Formats: sequence, C-alpha cells, structure tokens
Amino acid sequence: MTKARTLADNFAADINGITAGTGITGGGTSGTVTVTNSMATAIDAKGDLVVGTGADTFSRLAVASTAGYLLSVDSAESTGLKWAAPAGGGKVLQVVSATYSTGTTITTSTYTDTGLTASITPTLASSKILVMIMHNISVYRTSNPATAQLQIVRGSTSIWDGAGSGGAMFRIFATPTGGELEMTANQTFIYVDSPSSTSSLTYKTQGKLQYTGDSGQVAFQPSGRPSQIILMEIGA
Amino acid sequence: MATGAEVLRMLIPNGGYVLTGDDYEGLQFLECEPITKEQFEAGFAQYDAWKAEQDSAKAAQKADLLDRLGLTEEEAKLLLS
Repeated sequence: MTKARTLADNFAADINGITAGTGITGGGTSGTVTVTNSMATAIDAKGDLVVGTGADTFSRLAVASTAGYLLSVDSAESTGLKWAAPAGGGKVLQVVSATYSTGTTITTSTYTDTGLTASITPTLASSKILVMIMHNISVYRTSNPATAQLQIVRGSTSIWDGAGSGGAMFRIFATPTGGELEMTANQTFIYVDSPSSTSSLTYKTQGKLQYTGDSGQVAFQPSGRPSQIILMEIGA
Repeated sequence: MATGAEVLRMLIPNGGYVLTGDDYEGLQFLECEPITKEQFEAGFAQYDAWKAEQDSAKAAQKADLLDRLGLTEEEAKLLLS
C-alpha cells in the first residue's frame, strides 16, 4: 500500500473528497480515488509537446513530420509555436560529392556525357546549389587548333555552357612545323545554381570538340586521372 | 602499350565516336563508320609501328623544310622565339 492511502485511512474523518484542479482530471468523495495528469495523457506520440494556449490551458503540438525542422514562434498559431524549416541564412546545409575516374574520350562536336555526375535533394526551395567541379581534361590533335568545350547540366537543362559567346575552354594552336599537340590540365569550374526545387537534382558535365578531324580528341579523366564534383546546398 | 584512345586516333582519324574506358565495349560510334572488335584489338599491335612511321614522316618534313630555308633547327628556334 502507498503512503497516501495510509494517511487517508488515518485521517478519514478529515477528508471529504478530492477535486481535480487545472491539468488534472478525476477525483471523488469516497473509496479509492484516481486522479490523472491531463497534460501527460495529451501526449499521443513520440515527439509530442504540450504547449500553453492561454491562462491555465494547454494543447498538444505534434512533432514535425519533416526532419530538420525547428520550433519557431508564431503568434498566429493557437499554441504560439509552430514547426518550420530552419532559415538558411547563408549556411551550408548539406554537401554531396562524387569522384569519377573512368576515361571518357569524345571526338564529336555534339555535347556528350563525361561520366562525372552527382545528385542532391535541396532542403529548401530557396536554397542555392554551389557546383564545384575539378575536371582532369586532355586535348589532342595532330594539327590545327585543338579545342575542347564543356557544359554543366542539371537534369537535361544546360545551366552553364563553356561554348557560349565563343568561350572555348581549351585552345591549342598547331606549331608551324605541324607537330601533334596534347595538353592535359586539371580544370576547375564553379557555378552557383538557383534550382527552386526540393526534388532530387542530378548535375553532370558534358564535353565536346569545337573542331573535329586531324585525330582530334578530348579525354576526360585521361589515363584514369579522377575528376570530382562537389554540390553544396547554401541556405538563402 | 598503346591506349584505346591512341589506337582510335589511327583507325578513325576524323572522330565521331565516344570511348568510355579502354575497351571495345565502351566504344560508341556516333558520327562515323563502326569498326569491328577485331580491328580495334588488332590496332594495339599496329599502333607502335604506325606512330613510328608518323613521327618519321614528320621528322623528314621538318628536315626538308629547314633544308629549304637553309637554317639549322637552333636557328629556326631563335627566329621563332
């Protein structure tokens, strides 16, 4: 038996009843009396909060269904609180990276996948995606300019085209004696994208030759030298 | 040992293909006449001789040009520097 019941037995003549106050239900005037903590029974599931809605009143606030949400103040809500996505404020919200080291030799003047790709699912539609690419690239031609070009693609949309406005990524001119030419470089490309999406986004690079013929080739990841893509979600 | 890309320089000098990796299975013919796997693989054995022939021809052209100009290679380099 509990200590409370012993006290009740000893002083039965002095207790006429128990009445539930704020936050408690139950009570009675005789026999075994049960009182229940209403704030505790308001909790139905993991993560639930009991929040005041006014003087001596409260309500259940269910946990947010989206991971990463934070509790924020909102006077328009009956509880004065709500779950909301964190304000990015220029912070790095997530980082995704991928490395690809299979050589891809392209000899057409049509943009073709280099094999380097990575996917990211933005937390917020207002986020920007900082795309950083370190590409090992080699160009070769037996004579005449050897010129490779590259574009960054999100899904099937070109978001940056190195061939735009005549911007060639590589240009090597033949020597007067007509010797073959080959140049390899680890080229860096940085682009800030504003996809306005919370769906999974796939970024990739595509390359091509500006001029074909004369055994012209552009090789990405030549001899297995790896290229890397890093995607950073930046809160707006 | 030649690479697949080097062999293709010899076999398909006008391009029009994409090679992923170094094997015939990674070869896509986009804007050119396809070659067979046998031709591709035989190319590895032929490449060194072909390259030596190309280099020899270029060296001969260079020597001929210098001879016609009446210059040594060093003098030509000085003129171009």
